[in-house]
Amino acid sequence: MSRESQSERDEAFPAFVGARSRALLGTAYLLTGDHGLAEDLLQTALTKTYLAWGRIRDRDALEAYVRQTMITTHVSSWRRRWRGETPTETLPESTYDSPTSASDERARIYPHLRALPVRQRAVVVLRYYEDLPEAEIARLLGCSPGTVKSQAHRALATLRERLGDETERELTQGGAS
Amino acid sequence: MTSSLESRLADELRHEAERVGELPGLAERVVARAHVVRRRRALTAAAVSGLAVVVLFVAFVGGGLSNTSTLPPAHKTPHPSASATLSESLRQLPQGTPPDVDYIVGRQAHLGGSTHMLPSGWIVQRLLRAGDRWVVTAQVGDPEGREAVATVTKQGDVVVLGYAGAGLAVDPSGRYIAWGSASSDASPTYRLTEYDVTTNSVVAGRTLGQPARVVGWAKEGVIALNNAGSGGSPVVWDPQADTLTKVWGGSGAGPTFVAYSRSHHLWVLLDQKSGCGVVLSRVGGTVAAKGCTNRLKDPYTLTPLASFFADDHLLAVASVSMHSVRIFDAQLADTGDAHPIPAGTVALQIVPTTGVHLLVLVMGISDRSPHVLGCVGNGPCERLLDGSLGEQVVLAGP
Repeated sequence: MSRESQSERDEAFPAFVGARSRALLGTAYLLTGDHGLAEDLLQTALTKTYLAWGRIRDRDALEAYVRQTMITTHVSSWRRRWRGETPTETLPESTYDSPTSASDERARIYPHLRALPVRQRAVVVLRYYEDLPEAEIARLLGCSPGTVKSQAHRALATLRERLGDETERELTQGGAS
Repeated sequence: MTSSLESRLADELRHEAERVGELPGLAERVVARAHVVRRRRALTAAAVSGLAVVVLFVAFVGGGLSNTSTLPPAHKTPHPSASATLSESLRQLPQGTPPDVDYIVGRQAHLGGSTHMLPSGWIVQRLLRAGDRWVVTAQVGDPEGREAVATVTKQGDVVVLGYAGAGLAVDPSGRYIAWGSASSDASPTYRLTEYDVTTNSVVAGRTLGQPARVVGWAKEGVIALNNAGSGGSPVVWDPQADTLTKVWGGSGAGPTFVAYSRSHHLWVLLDQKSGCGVVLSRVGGTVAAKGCTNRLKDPYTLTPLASFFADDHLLAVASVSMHSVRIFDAQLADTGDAHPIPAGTVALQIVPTTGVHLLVLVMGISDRSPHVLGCVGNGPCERLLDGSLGEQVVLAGP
C-alpha cells in the first residue's frame, strides 16, 4: 500500500468507525444475539476491512464491505465458535424492576428469533432489519434467491408456530387461574 | 403482503438493535489488532518460506541426510524493534525495573520469582493467583476455539484442567476456581464449573440454558454475567447450595459491568448505558452507595481487566479517549485524580500494587507492542517492561 493510501486510511478509518460502528454493532448483535460476541464479530470485520483497505476502491462501499464480512464470518464460523443462542432454561427472575419490562409483550418475538438456525436468523435480520432485497441477501450469503425465500418462509413459519404455542399456553394458564 | 408478524418483527429488530451502546476506542483497538494480525501473518509467511527452503534443500541433497536430522531452529523475520518505532510519548517516559507482580510475556511466565516457558503455541489471556499456584486461560489451538484452563506451579508444572471460553475466577481462599464454558454441538448447553486446585477435581457444576460469563467471586459465590440478554444481568452462583440469585438488573438497556474488591467483600455494579451504579456489601444486602455519572458512560473502557475496585470504594477505570486512568469514588463522582497514560496507546489492563500505585498494561498504536507502565500519583508513568511486536503480555490480576 502506498504512503498516500496509508495516510488516507489513517484519517478515514477512525472517522468511518466513529460514524458507523453503532449501526454495525446493532446488526452484529441481531446476528449473534449476544453483546460480547457482537463486539467480537464487529471487531473482526473491521480488522479485516482495515487490512483490505488498499483493495477497497469505492469508499462508499465500505459499510457494505464490513457488513458482508460480518455475515460471512458469522455464518461460516458459527460451528466452531462459542455462541450465545438457543436458551432452554432461564435464569432466575430479577430482583429489580427493569424499565424495559413494560415492553415485554412487544419483546416476545426476539427470544424465538435467537433460537432460529444461524442462516435463517441472518436472512431475517437482513430482510427485516437491513431491509435488503432477496437478490442482495442471496449475494451476501452466497446462495440463490430461491434459498433466501425458502429460509425466510421457514423462519416466519417457526416464529408463528412458537408465538402461537406461547399465546395458547398463556391463555390456558390465564384461564386456569 | 406484509403480515402483522413481519411488521412486528421489523419493529422489534429495530428496538433490539437500538439497545446496543457505543464502543469507545473501537478504532484504536481495531488498528492495534490489525497490526498484530499482520505481524502474525508475516511470521507465518517467513516460517513457511523458511520451511520450504529446508524441504527443497533436503529434497536436493536426497539420501545425504539421515532420518534423525532435525530442522534448523526457526529464525525470526527481521523487524523493527520496539524502540525503533516507539512513539514519542512512550519514548519520553523514564524506564524503571520490571513490575513487582507476576506476569507472562509471550510464553515466558515470571511467577513467584521463577521463570518458565509455557507450552509451545499457547497465547495466555488471563493470569490469576490461586493459593500456591497460578491459574491461566490460554488459546491453545483448540479446533473448537475454546480456551484451556490450566494451573502452573512455581516449579513450572502445567496441568490442563478443562476448557472454558467464558470467564475465570478464583475464590477468596485461593483453593477453588470457577469458569464458564459451552458445548460445541448444534444445541449448545452452557455450564459453570467449580474446581478444587488442591485435589485436582471438579467440585460442582451447573448447567444453564443461557450463556453466562464468570467475572468474579464474591463471598456469597461465583459472580457470572448472564450475557444472553442485552442487559447482561449479574447473577451469583453458590456452588454448595447450587442456587442462582439474580443481583441487580440495572436499567436493562445496556451491558452491566461488575467489579469486586480484593477482599471480595464489596462489589460495584454499573449500568454502562445509563452510567448509574451501586455498591453492595453482600447479595441482597443494603446498598452501600449509589450514584450516576455521565462521565462513566462513554469514554471509559469498562472491562474487568481495564479497571479495579478497591475496598475504600475507589474505582479506577481506563479512559481511551482521554488518555488517562481516572479514579471515581463510591458515589460514582469523579474524584479528579487521573494518571495520564501516553497518547497513542490503549489501556488493556490495570493492576494495583504496593510498590507503585498502579500498573497499566498498554498497547502502543505506532509500535504495535505491549508496554507495562508503573504510575504513582498524578505524575508521569515509568516504562517498566516493553513487549515485542505482536507479543501478548498479561499481568496477574487481583
